[in-house]
Amino acid sequence: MSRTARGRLRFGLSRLVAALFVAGISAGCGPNGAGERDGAVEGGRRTLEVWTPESGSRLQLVQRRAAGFSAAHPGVEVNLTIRDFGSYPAQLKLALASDRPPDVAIGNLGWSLDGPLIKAGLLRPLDPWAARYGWDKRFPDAARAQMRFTTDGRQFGRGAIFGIPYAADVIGWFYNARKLEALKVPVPMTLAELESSFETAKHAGEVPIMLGNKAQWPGLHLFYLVSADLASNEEINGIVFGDRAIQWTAPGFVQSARTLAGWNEKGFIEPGANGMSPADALARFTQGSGVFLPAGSWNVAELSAAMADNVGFFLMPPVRAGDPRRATGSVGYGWHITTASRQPDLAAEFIDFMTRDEFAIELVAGGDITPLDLGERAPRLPSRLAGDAYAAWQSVVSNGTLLPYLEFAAPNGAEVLYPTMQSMIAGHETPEQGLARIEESRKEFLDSLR
Amino acid sequence: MKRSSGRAVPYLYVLPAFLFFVPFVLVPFAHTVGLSFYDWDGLTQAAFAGLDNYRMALGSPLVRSAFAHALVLIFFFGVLPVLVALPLAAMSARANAPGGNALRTLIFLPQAISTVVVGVSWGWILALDGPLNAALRALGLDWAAIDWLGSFTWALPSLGMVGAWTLLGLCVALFFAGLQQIPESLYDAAAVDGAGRWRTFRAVTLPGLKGPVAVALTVTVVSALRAFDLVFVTTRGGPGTETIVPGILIYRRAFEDARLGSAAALAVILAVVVFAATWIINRIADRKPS
Repeated sequence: MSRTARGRLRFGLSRLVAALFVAGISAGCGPNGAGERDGAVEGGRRTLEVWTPESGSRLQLVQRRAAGFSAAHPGVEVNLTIRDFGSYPAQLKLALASDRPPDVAIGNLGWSLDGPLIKAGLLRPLDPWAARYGWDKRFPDAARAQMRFTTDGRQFGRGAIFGIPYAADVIGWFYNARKLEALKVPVPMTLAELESSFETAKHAGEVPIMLGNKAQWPGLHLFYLVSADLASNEEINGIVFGDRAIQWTAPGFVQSARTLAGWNEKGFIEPGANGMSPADALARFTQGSGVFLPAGSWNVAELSAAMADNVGFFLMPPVRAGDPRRATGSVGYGWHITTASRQPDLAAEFIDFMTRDEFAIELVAGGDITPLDLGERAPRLPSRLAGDAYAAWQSVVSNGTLLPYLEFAAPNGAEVLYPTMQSMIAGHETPEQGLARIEESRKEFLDSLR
Repeated sequence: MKRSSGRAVPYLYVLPAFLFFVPFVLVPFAHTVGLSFYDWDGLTQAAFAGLDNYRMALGSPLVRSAFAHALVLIFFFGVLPVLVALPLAAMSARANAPGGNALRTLIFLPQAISTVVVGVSWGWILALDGPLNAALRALGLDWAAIDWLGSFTWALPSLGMVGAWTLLGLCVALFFAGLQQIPESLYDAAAVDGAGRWRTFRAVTLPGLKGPVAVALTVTVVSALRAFDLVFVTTRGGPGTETIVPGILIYRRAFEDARLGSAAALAVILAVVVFAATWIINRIADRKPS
């Protein structure tokens, strides 16, 4: 009688367990047996297997430069494996644990990808090559901790160099220039000015802060902006790099969460934010909804294409006028050499080629940000917005005020950090309650590393 | 000799299906059960954890609320469509009204649409400036126009209504088919006995539909318990954790947080709940009328 129903139930379950099962067994059965890795060198030709999750203009740049590497190294072929960003971590883990792992792969910072891979011994410390190629000096001080991990994979931010970055990002405010002008509001120079511009915008019937928080992480990006003003370096670095003496319930974070809840209560934040996807919020902003958009510099290309000179970018204005601006950002994820690679020297040469000035110049010309200081060699920037973002990045680097992403602290983002942030912003939960829960989950993770 | 080979024949019929069932269902399920006793990140050596994963799952407020949400969804996905579909099917089957087929097709249509499309469409309809709220405002009900899927109070019921809308067609189709099996003579007998509409429905239609109702409840309750796609597309478990369901938690732990053991334990618990729910439904349906 209920055969169909049971059949359906089994099917549903089996899909679920099958997925887990595949994740489990694939570790043991690659397409070819061990030992064939020697095929990398064949009749004098060598193939470098490289994995990347990049897409769009960055991918094209990676492809162009990879082809350039082959051209400069006769007999060497670079085979790029491209996977979409969303499923990349899971796929890379499987590839690295298989019998035919790549030589070089792009990772992701902190515990989402690099940490587990290093803990499993799948990535090599790069210090020998870092010294040879000067990687240890090439990048800004503020970013160097993000390249390091202890070799046991238990401590992020110190230890050996594991990843070599090639692009950078920073979180700030995009603003609609014409709207700001119409409101007769100058670009805010302090936190108080920013808040009063929200007030003015609200009174004029505008949405002060455009936000699409359905994905739950954009709320955290708003938190990054506020905590850049209200939380101390010790608080932020302590959380990110696993210092148990520092907790999420620290005053700087409580005050940040309280500020955001206050903004929401005053109607500064887009009222439909929780039901709106980040992509929709971005689209609405380009179509003239919202005066400010809190977001990362990776949106520069899309926003300047859609809004031309009507959009600008600034970092969180400080509490006190004239103080250097602090901002959350990173040198992005880096290139890694796998432990299994039989040609680590060639891999290192490839990484060096992919992270030199030539790459950075093309990156910047495309409207992206580079972790390198190009100085005089910096190309002409493609838009006013790209100029704003580039200058913003340069300022945090030269002031030493770049802050790491708080979500690097533990891999609990999707389950605890993002939803709790959303609850606190909505006033559904007090900052004290929410932050205590986030801390509890972070502590659980830190304990699991012991 | 002949007898024993005759006894083996039924098993031979089952064999082909069984050959698929073992590697694709039984083995993975056993593997999941095994995994659930380990602490494993998918890469490094798994560490035996005993019942830790289960203890943590059952002790976690988040997991408990996920199952509580699934319970709410059972009402919307299962109970509600069945209650609405019963009179709808009874009416449309008895009265051979013109356009009845077209109406049934229309009601069934959501079943034929992929859940992702359903989710995206309803996400748009329920948005703060979406058509539903536009209609409410046009009626002067401005106070009722809210961000349905972004509301801490209304997100779960809204999701539930979307599910009810999707599954209503299935229930109507099942019941309509079931109604064709009820002998017309029973209705004639009821008419002769002077039974009114309600009486006929209670005495003839409802008992005749016991089978289809059990099927409908099984399918809808299971789909409520293992809800994933609709939630993933519309709310991702938010706002906050108001629409988190077991499927979303399992997905996140397995594929985002790399806590395979914990995910496996949740999957096993979910499987047990699903088995229990279907068993109870079928037990009730199989009960002989006293």
